[in-house]
Amino acid sequence: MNYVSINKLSSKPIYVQLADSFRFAIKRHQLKQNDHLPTEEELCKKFEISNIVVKQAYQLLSEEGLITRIQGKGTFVRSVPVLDVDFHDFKDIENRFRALGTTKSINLIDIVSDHDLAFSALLLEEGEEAYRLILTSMYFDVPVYSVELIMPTQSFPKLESVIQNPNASVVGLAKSFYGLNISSSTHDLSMENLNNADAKQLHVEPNDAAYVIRSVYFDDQKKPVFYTNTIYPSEYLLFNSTVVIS
Amino acid sequence: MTDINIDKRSKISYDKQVQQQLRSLIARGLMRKGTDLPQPELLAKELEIESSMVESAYRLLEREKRVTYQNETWKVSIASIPKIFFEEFISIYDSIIKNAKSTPSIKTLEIDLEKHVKGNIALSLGQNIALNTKRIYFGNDVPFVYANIYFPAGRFPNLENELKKDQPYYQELKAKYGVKMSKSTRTMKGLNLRKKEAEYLGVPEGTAAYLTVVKNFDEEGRVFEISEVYGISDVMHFTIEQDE
Repeated sequence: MNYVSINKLSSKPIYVQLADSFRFAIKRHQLKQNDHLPTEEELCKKFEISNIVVKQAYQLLSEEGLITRIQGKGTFVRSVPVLDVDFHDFKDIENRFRALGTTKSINLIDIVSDHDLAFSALLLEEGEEAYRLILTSMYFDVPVYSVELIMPTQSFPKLESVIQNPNASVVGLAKSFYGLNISSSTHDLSMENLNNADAKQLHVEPNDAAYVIRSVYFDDQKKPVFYTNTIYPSEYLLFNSTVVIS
Repeated sequence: MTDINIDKRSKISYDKQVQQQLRSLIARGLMRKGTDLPQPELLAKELEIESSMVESAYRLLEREKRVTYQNETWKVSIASIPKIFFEEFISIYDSIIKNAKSTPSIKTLEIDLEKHVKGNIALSLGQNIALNTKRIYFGNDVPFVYANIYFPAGRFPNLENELKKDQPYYQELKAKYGVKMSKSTRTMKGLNLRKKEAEYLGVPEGTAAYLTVVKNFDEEGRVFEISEVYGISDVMHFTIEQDE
């Protein structure tokens, strides 16, 4: 518990000091995922503070997604930290997950001749063909999101032999192997209930809430090149934005 | 025939599953205003469920004013909700009203002059007693967001009289109390709606929703309002465009 420091003479409320101590310890990896946090009684006794103060501190950290409290078992550092992403940049989500150390693997590659949203977004006719890839991004042993990629076979011939590293960017792959310059993208965000198959793949409960981001990537002629459908279980991600009013 | 799938192992009843998926298809513009819905018997046969379940789903959607029954045919009666461009996120309420060209209304559910608050709300308000009000915002009588709003208790005397009028209050805050907003921060997260919030939004319990916590700051940098705003994708569907 030597990472906890409390100054009773400070004007900063004790529960805020307590929460700050835990937050810093988690950031500095003195506390790691799934580590057990001290009980209320232990903290009360050691620092001669009331259990209300400890409860308030734990509530703050829980609201911030850093810890989880399990009835009858105790308080733990969460297994996957909650990412706090700027709402202006959906692309940044993937970079942020990568910075955490997540890695992607390919679960499936097949060829489809229809797809309810991707085909219309890519201006493909029913019957034309496209590769469909499903990738999962893992944080240690927890899948944190999945990506479905739809890439027309005409623009991406022999994709299965080209795509070697699932962690490489698709925009980079389009340029280096196919000479396609991706210059812009659009991203639609909606909140959806997960179906059984997606829930199973992402190790969460069916019907759990998830962010679904459907993205279309365009070349410099504004022609759609490929489509992605990314599913993030809501528990790992929150969006932030600040609006300054002039 | 349709993009509807029934999950027979789900805890959600078949009629609610059909209702939810149709609502989403309508909202996303995949079933446009004026489109005929499949005859209940045909859809039921395709989904391998009782036709009474499909009829029940249609009636639930009729109650939400999303479909109508005319000349023995069910039709989509509501325009799809346009996507909200991120820039318009500043005022979700105004942008939905503007984009959907719908008539706004507000229903104030309750007002508590001295609500005890804790956690982040207490910390942000700098006190643990708040003036709390719960409101539903409608467009064409369809609920689109439910908001649980906190003001520092005592800061705006008699504001409750304004809230009771079921009107927006920002003009009033400026004119009567001299509040000038300098900054607004928002944190958005996803969750499954609990029973109460689901009822307010007219959707089944457990429906995936956004919870946006909005904090508004005055010119002195003090928080004068915190709102927890619940909305579903049918009405809050964000889009951004960016360069690669």
